[in-house]
Amino acid sequence: MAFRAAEYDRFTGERRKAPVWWPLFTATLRRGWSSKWVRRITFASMMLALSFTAMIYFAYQVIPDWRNLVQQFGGAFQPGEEEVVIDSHAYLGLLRLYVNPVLLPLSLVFGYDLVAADLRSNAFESYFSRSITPLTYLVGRTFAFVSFLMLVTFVPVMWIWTFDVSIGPDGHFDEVASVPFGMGAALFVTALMLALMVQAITSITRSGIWTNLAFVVIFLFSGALGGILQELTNNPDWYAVNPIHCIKVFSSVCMGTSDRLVPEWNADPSVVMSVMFGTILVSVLILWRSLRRRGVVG
Amino acid sequence: MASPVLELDELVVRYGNFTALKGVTAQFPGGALGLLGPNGAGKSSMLRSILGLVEPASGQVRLFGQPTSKDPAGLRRRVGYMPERDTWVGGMSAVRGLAHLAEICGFFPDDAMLRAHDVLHFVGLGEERYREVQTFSTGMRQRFKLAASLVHDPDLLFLDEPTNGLDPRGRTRMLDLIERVCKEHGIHLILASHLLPDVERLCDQVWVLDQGEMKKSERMETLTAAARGAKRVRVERSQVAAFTAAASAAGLHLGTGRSDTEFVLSRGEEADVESEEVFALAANAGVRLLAVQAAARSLEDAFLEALTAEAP
Repeated sequence: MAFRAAEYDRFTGERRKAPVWWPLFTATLRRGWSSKWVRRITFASMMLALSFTAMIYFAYQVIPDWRNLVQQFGGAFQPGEEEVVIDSHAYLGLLRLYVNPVLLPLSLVFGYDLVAADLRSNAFESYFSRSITPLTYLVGRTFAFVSFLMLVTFVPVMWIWTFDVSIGPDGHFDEVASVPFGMGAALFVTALMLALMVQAITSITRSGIWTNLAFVVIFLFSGALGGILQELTNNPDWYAVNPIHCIKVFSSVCMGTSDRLVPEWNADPSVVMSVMFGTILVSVLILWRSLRRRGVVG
Repeated sequence: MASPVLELDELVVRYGNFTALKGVTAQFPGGALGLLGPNGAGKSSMLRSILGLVEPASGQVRLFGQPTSKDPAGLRRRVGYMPERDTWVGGMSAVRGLAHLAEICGFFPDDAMLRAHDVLHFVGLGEERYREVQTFSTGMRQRFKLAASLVHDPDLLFLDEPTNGLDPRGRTRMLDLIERVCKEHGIHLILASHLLPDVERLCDQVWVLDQGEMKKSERMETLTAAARGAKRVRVERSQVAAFTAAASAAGLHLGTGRSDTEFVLSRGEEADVESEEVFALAANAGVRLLAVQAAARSLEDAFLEALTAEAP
């Protein structure tokens, strides 16, 4: 490295016009990526997509008519149905595979310390005495968080869909044409809810460990609570207290398969959507209150 | 004529029922300004309200001639703030954290990283720049905060107690750095401190705050030169009243000393006070003098006087 004199110099270069939240966006991605668990889950997600495409490819090579076989034999496992059609409903299963084991843990390991670390290091004083406002902070962090979650879930799912459509029979595209929109909407709203929820919890707990615990309590115990309340009141809408249930029903709605949900075992989609958008709103309010206390000029 | 760097117009800051600043009006034309005051005087509240970290209850702040409410983000790019409390961006090395802060102020990533290296070298943290700030010692954190306030090359520096927690050598080093930046590069300085020697060394103007009010706003040389030719006199506690009455009757001005039995006797700009005159005055009043010496008035004297005087 060239020798640099320890002197102060005025900056004479050019300054850019990029939005002020952009550096926060890139820094958030960099911080998230520095976690080895984030990298592991991302790798696992990509491997899952590659495995699926490899499976489809080899199935075509070995049994060119595998699609018909799956449809006919699949009916045996679906009570009341003659055959299983590889359509949006089949992709809903794939979506759940990317939500429960990928999106949920990823949102926690990516964001469990995001706001809490800034609170502990008093970073808000550095941010808000510069051009960052509470709003730009919230936008920068959340945009990066949601983008990363989408990248790790939506991109691999679309990779599988593209591969399936490109080698599928004529007419298959019509059966699954709406999948990207449904998948995109379901994953976007779910990722947004999880990202805001995790950040709101970290802003309250100020600790990564307590955030993890709170997250586990919310996701596991709310499932049991929903079941108990449903038993007591005989009202399946109580299942909506569990975010995992909400995500499941909302995904079905987005994929256009909500008519296949059993009413006795699922909360009403309108209740589910109210709970999800309510969670988003409450999380934003908690974050906003926490940030406004540390920087007031917008 | 250029606008003043900072103008405060009836600035009021409240925290709930507590009023931290009670309608402060003042102007800072530029240079180096010392904000003095005892703990809780309102120094930090003033800095934080100027930066928009605290919302004023009423009044206006103008920076570089522009109201801070008009383009707060744009104005804050021209200001470097070193808060009293430690602050850094967690999960990053010192150099990466500084580059991040420079990017927020509009630097391109490459320029920001280069600049972060430069300012860390400047404050003497070149060897430590890849460490995380939370592993730094108190002195290193103070220097890191100075680097963070300089990394985006501001036109105005707000330093809140920059020498807190530093040993004598570290303090001298810190004051040297600040002096170099401000004097050699024309960066305006507002220094909030309760360490009067720091302010006396760096600043050419002083605002004295107490209980949220502006007690004094003067140039440094006016403050410290006002009582040149004066005498510092100490008497016994039981004879304070007799001595003050005699001195007042003789037409001498009685300034506050460093204790309640000490006074600074002066005649303003008119003439020096001679030792013989003090001895005669004491003999006539029947007062025993404990000490008489030339009073080279320090900033400390002016500060104590401002705190005991009525607000202007």
